[in-house]
Amino acid sequence: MVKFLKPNKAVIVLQGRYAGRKAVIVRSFDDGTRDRAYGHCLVAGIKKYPSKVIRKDSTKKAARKSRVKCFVKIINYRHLMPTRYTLDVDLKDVVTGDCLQSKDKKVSASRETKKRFEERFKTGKNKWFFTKLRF
Amino acid sequence: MESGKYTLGYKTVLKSFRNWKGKLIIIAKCCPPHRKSEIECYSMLAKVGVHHYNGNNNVDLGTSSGKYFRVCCLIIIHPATAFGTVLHVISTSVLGITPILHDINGTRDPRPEPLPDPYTY
Repeated sequence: MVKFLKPNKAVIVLQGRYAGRKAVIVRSFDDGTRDRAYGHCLVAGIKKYPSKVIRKDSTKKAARKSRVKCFVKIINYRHLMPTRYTLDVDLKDVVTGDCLQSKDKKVSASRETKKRFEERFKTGKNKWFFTKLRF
Repeated sequence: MESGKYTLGYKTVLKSFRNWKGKLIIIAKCCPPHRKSEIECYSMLAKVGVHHYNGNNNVDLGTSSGKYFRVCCLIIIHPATAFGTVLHVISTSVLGITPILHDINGTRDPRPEPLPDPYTY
């Protein structure tokens, strides 16, 4: 069997506050850790998707519409749906194991992933990842 | 233990996917379509074969596994030795016979029946 829950895999969160949001696996712990005895992974996902930018929009409005709000979370494998997509944004240095220890670390990690996601969105690649999943 | 390893049921099938274990999935014909497509999606990502069992429904799949309950989907983790019972299931379901799988049940026949010729693994 090929492992598919690997870093850079795009997944959809199925449960919790972020249900229905797309996320990318940054680090996976197949066998769990001492605190979490189940397979889980650290994901960085999109809390608020960028809106659709139309031609009529001024640059200021387009910049406002292209904002991406992010979240960083540890999620059980059970609460994820893997997809065939990948997102190769380098988040390993930003989203680390200890960034969820305190609130300000979490906020700074989210801010940094927000920057990287917005960069990636503006290049126009990985369109699937930045479109809202309709359900 | 020489006999093959398998688990029955949707929850254990998904669990096996997440543990990277398993060689073949067998899905009953009457499996609900959403569940069937979810299993097929996972198996496509994991590059695991899916076989749609040729019996009428999940009752038949349960019976072929030697159980007295219905089985909608099952995953084979380790097939038994070479003349595998896995192949036996597939070949006989293709032939339209529902076998009682002693091997899959865990009690191993000392001399397994030879498979019909056209079916090679």
